[in-house]
Amino acid sequence: MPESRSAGLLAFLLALPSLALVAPAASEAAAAPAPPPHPPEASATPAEAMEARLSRLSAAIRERSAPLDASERGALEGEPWVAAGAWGNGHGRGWGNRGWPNRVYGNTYYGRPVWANYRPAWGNFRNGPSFLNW
Amino acid sequence: MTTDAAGLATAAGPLELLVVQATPYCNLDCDYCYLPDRGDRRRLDPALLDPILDTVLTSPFVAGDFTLLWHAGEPLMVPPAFYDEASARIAAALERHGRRDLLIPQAIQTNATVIDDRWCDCFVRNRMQVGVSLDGPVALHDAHRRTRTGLGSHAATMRGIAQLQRHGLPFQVITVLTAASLEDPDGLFHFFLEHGIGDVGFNMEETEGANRLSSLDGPGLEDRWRDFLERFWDLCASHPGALRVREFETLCGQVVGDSRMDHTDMNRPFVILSVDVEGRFSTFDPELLGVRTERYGDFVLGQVGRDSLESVLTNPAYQRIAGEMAAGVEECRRSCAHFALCGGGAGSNKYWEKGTLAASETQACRWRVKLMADVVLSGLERSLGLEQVTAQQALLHGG
Repeated sequence: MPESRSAGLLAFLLALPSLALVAPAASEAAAAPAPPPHPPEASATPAEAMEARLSRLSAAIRERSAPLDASERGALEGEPWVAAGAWGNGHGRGWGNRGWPNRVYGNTYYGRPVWANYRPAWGNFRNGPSFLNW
Repeated sequence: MTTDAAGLATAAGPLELLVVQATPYCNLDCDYCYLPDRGDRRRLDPALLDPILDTVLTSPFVAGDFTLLWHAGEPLMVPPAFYDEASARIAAALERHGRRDLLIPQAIQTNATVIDDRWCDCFVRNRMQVGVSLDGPVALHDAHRRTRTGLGSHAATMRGIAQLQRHGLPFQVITVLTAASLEDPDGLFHFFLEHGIGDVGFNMEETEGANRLSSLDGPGLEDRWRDFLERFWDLCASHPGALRVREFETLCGQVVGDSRMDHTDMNRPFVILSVDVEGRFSTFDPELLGVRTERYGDFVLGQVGRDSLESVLTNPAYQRIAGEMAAGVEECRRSCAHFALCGGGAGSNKYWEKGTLAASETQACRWRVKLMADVVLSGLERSLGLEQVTAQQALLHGG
């Protein structure tokens, strides 16, 4: 098996609430921006409702990850999904479409994990090997 | 609407996946398989790779690296030397076309039953990405994945996996979920953990191709599917990093990256090119190649060495397929709340469920996209302490 394995993006996201447990001081809390809006009941169309739901989640994740300190950020450096641009690119591109470091065949960049880039699993052909070399 | 080839080419590609059929043959006879000719023992002549790659590399659709996936039959039913020769021919083709800047990694999806030291050496030598088809514990796996004489294949597949692990080769597992799989998410989850399997993608048993009836067509199964997913999410959450599920990781990536879909690889032309054992090619969903239909024929659009990829764009058969595929995607875009997460789905599901590519919602997309998205988004909302959008609200909003 690969010498080290990524925990995966889901594990990171599920850890976010605890990472954000450092409570802000009362004065900071008072000045903190309002929490993301409530679920988008008032949205005009189903697509807009979904978009509002996704945007609210993305905003919450960005907000929770902001307090990550240097050591926590350092711990993420080995994560392929960080190397691939999945995190923090901030330009709406999502999972970067780059080669991923191959931990088995050496240091060359080759291939990319098809279902871990910005095209979702069901956007790809579902009968092939995909996310690899984590 | 643009009808000349140059104009049409701008709405196609770039190529991401080249699917090549090394052989239609498979040593197993899984009862849910969509492939119609899996008893056919023909093999691809390795020399045919030259015109295949020439056709691809002279096309306007290559913008960067793409993967060559050996598929549509069991790829290990040809000898390891086949892949050594393929690697040499790939390297020669890149040289011939002055494209040493490109990488064309090879990938296989295999039942793993014949993997031994010799094969593992071949994977390393040719830097092949390996996916294994495994449906979980023996009872689930052997219920469907059998030899032609009716013997189960689980033990052989697990031996193959052990070989991969012994050689330190990474692999991912694709698990086909049937109605029986939904009964015991805990058992399935712990089976993967106990066997050192860390990356899993879920495919649904589908009514598709040669498989005319799915166990998931029964009443009440959507609720069981949701229950299964919710439990699996909870298990992943309570075992952080132990198992990465393709569908969960992908959706999380979309949320984190604020990315939205406009199409899929399977409904935009020439993002995928599929070539059969005789060098006949098609595009869109690889599962359509070689399937014989009244409405669209066999989806074969050309022959390598004779037809260029761009010449196909003005072919009436292609235009009918592409036109109806586009109409289906537009209907999805117009009517579905999940379009931004899905991109309009796969033509094979639409054809097999609705008889036409010009269709929108299918059972496959309800299960694979809509219910999946609702479970993942709800799970993230719960984890982040956000007020949840309930299923009822989602339904109200067209979910």
